[in-house]
Amino acid sequence: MRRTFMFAIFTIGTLCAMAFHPLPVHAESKTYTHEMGSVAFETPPTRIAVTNWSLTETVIALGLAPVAIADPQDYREWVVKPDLPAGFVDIGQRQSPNMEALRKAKPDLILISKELAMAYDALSEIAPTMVISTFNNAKPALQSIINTTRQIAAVTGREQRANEILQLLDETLAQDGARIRAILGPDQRLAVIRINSDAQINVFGPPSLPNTVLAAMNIPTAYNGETTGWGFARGGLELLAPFANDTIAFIEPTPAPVRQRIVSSPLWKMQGFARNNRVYQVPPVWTYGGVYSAMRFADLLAAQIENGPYK
Amino acid sequence: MIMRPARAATIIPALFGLLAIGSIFVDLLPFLQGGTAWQALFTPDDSRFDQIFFHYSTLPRTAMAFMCGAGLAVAGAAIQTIFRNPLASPTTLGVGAGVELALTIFLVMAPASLAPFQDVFTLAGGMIALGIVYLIASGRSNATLWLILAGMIVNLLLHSATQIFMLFNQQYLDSIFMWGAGDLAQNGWDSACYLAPRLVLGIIAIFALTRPLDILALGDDTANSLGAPVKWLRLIILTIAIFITASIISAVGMIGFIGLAVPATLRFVGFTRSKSLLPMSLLVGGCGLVVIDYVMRQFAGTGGDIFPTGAATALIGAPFVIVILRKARIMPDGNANSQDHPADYNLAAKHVLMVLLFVGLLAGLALSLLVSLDGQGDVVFTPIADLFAFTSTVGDRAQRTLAAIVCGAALAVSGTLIQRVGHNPMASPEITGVSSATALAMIIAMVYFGIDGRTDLMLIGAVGGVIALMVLLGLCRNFSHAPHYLLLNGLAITAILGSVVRIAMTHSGTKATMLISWLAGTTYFTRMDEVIAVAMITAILTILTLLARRPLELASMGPDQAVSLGLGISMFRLAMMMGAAILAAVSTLLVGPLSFVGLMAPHLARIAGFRLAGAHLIGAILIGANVMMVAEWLARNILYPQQLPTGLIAALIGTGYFLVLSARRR
Repeated sequence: MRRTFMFAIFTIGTLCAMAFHPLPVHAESKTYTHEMGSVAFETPPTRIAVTNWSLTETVIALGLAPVAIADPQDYREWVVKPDLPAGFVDIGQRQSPNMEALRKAKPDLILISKELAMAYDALSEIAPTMVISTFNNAKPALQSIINTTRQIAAVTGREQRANEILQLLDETLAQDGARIRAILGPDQRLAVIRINSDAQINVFGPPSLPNTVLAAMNIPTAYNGETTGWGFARGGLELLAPFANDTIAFIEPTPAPVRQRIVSSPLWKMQGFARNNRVYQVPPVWTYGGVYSAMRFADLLAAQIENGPYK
Repeated sequence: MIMRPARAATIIPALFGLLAIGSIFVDLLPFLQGGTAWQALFTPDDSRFDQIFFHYSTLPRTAMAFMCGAGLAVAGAAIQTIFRNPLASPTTLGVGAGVELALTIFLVMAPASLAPFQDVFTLAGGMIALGIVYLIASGRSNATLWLILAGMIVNLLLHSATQIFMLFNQQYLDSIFMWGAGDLAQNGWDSACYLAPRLVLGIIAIFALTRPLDILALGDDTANSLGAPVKWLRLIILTIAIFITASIISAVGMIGFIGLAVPATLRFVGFTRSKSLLPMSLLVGGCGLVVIDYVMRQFAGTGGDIFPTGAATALIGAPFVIVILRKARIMPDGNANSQDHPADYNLAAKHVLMVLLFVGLLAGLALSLLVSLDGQGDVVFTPIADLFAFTSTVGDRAQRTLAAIVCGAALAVSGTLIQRVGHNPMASPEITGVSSATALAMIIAMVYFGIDGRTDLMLIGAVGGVIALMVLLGLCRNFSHAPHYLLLNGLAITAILGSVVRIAMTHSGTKATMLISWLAGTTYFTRMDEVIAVAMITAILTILTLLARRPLELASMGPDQAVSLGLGISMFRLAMMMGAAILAAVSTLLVGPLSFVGLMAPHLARIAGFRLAGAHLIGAILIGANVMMVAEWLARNILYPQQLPTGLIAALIGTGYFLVLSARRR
C-alpha cells in the first residue's frame, strides 16, 4: 500500500515536472549580455521602449521607431534631432518612467541606463530590459556611443544600418574637422563650454562628447584636466584663464539674460579669447546623446566657425 | 543702562574681524610682493589676468560675502528680538525656503517683461511663508517651541516643493542647484551693486528701529502698556528683515545658519540690547562669512567641481546650534502642555469612527486600484474583474498603494509613540532627525561609495537611523531624554542632511534626479517583497506597543506621575523611542524621509477623540494609512504620465491640515 502510494506520488511528480518544463527551444534563441544580466531573443525585438535621450536617439538612428519615449517635449528642445516618430506613448519623466504607460505601449524590449538600476527588476517584469550606460562611467564618450550603437544594433538585428551610420559618422567628422582646421589653422586649441549661471560655467574635459568628437576630428582640445562624472569641470570664469590664446565654443540653450550677463562681465571680456574675438556660439546639442548628437555637434561647430565669431 | 559684556563678548568680534582682514591680506599678498597692490585693488592692468581676477572676482566676492553675512545676521537679530526666540532666524522660520520657492518659480516661469517685479515676488514668497508659520504657532501655550517646529515643517515642505519644481525642469538642474546651494562666485561688480543699495537701506531702517525693537523685546503686554503700536511695529520690522533676506537669496542663493548662529551667540555672550547687538551682528556676520568663504574657495577645483559656500555654512552652523542648545537654558520645561490639545471633536462614537475608517481604507484601496486619470482629464475605469484577476496593471498599482499604506501605518505608530512619550503634539519622526539620518546614510553610500543595490542601501540606511537615534539620546542624556532637546537636535540633524544633500547633488552627476524624487518620498522604486518586509516589522512593533499600552498611558502623563506610579520611566521611554526610530527608519527606506504623516495622523486621531493609548495607536494607524493611500493615488494620477512623489502630496495635505486647524481655533 505504502509503496504504491509512493509510486503514485513519484509518477504524478514526474508528469508534472514534464508538463511544466519549458519546451526545448526550436528557434535559435540568441543571448545578449548587458550591465546587469542578459536577455534572449528568438527574433529581433521591434517594439522598443527608451527611457533616456541617448537611447532614444540611438534607436531612432538605427531606423526603428520607439514605442515609448520619456520626456518627449524636452527632447524636442534639447536634443532636437533626429525627429521623434509619429506615434509613441509618452512615459513621463526620464528618472521615473511610468510603469502603467509603459505597459500600454506593449514593448518587447526596454532600454535603460544605470541611473534606473533601482527599477531594473520591476521593468524586467514588463519586458526584457537591457541596462546600457553610455555616460557617467569615465569612458571616452565617442567610443562609448559607438559601443552602445553596435550593442543595440546587434540585439535589434540592425548591424547593417549601424555600419552605415558609423561610416557616415567617420566621414562627417573627417569633413567637419577639415572645415574647422581650414579656418582656425591646425594648431588652434578649442575649449567647449556650457554657460550654467551668472557666475558659472562647465568646461568639457577628456571623457566628454564634445572633446572626444574634437579629438576624432583631429582638433586639439584646450582643457585636459579633472572632470566630474558628467565629463566637465565646473567653476567660475577663472577656469578659462589658461585658454587666453585658444578658441572658446559655448553650447546652447542658455537663457538669454544669463548669456548676456556672462559675456558682458569684465572677467569674460578681459580674457584673451574674447579680446582676440575667438568665441563661437553653437546651437543646442545634447552633449549626452548618441551618433546623431556627435555628428550634429561637429556640423554645427563647423558651420558656426565658418559663419564667424559670436558678437 | 548697558550691561557690561563678558570677556568673550570682546574676543569674538575681534577674532572674526582679524581673521577676515587676514584672509583679505593673504589674497592680496602676491600683489603686495610685486608692488602692484594698489593697481590690483583699484585700476587692474588689463593684460594681467591675476589682477583682473583679483579686481573682478576675489574682491567683489569678498564684498558679497561680507554684505550677505552682515545682512543675514542683522535680519536674524531683529527676528530673534521680535519673537523673543533665540532659535528664530530667516532660515529656521521658513522665510528662506519661501523666497527660494518664489524665486525658482519666477526664474523658470515668469516672462522677461516681469523681471522688474522679481523683488516684489520674492518678498511676497518670504512673507507668505512666515505668515503660515506664525499662523500655525500663534496662540499656543508654548509659542517658542511651536514657532520653531512650525518653521521647520514649512521649511521642509517649501524646500521639497522647490525640488519638485526642479524635477520638471531638470535640464536647468545644474544651474538652479548651484544657485540654491549658495554659490558666492562673482565675475564683476554687478551683483554687488545690485545688492548693496538694498542692504544699506534695509540695515539702516532696522538700525533706526533699535528702540522699538527693545520695546518689543519686553513682550506684547509690556510693550502695549507703554503705548507702542505693537502690531504695526512688528509687521514693519519683519517686512524689512524679510526684504533683506529676500534680496540676499535672490543674489546668491541660500546661505543658512548665519542669521541664526551669529545673533544667538552674541546674545548669549552678553549683547542683549539691540543697540549693541545689531552692530555686532553686522560685524561678526559679515566677517564670519568672509572667513568661511575664504576657506571654501581653497577647495574649488578639487574633483573638477566647487563647494558652494551656502551649503558649507549649514554644515558648520548646525552642530553650532546643538552647542547653543546645550549652553543656553532657553528651552521651556518639559511638562505636558495640555492646552496644546484642541478640544475633542466627537464626530461619532469611537468604534463607529474606527469602522468607518477601516471601511474607507478597504473601499479606497479598491478604488485606487481600479480608477485612474489618463492625462487628458478623463477618468479611466479598469474593469472590476481585473481586481480579482490581479492583472499586471493592478499589480503595479497595488504594490505602490500598499507601500504607501504600510508607510502611513508605520509612521503613524512612530509618531504616536514620539508624541506620547515626548509629551509633544508637534513631535514626529520627520522632526526627530531619524528619517533625515536614514536618508543621509543612504545618500552618502550612493553618491560617494557608488553603492546602488537596494538591499545594501536599506541596510546602510537602517544603521544610519539607529546610530542617529543613539547620538540623539546621548546628547539628551543629561536632560533625561527631555523631549524638546531631542526635537531641536533633530532640527540640527535635518539641517545637516539638507546641506549634505546639496553638496552631494552637485557631485552625484546623473543620480541627482533620482535622489530628489526619492527624498521627496516616491513609492516608484518600491518592490513588493520590501513592502512585505516593512509590513511585518510594522506589525510586530505595533503589536508590542499595543501590549505595552498601559505603561504607555502612564508615560504619557508626564515623568512625575509615571514615576510615582512605579514605572521605570527612563528605560521604558528609551524602548519606546527605539521602536519609534526603527519604524521611522524602515518607512524612510520605503518612501523617503518626508511625509508628515507621523505628525498628522496621531494628532488627528487624538482630536477625533481617541485618547487612550491603545485606541490612539489604532486610530492613528487607520488615519495614516488612509492619508497615504489618497496621497499615493493623487501622486500617480494628477499629472499622468508624469508622477509626483507621494511624500510631497502627503506633506501638502499635512500642512493644509495644520493651517485649517489654526484657522478654526480663532
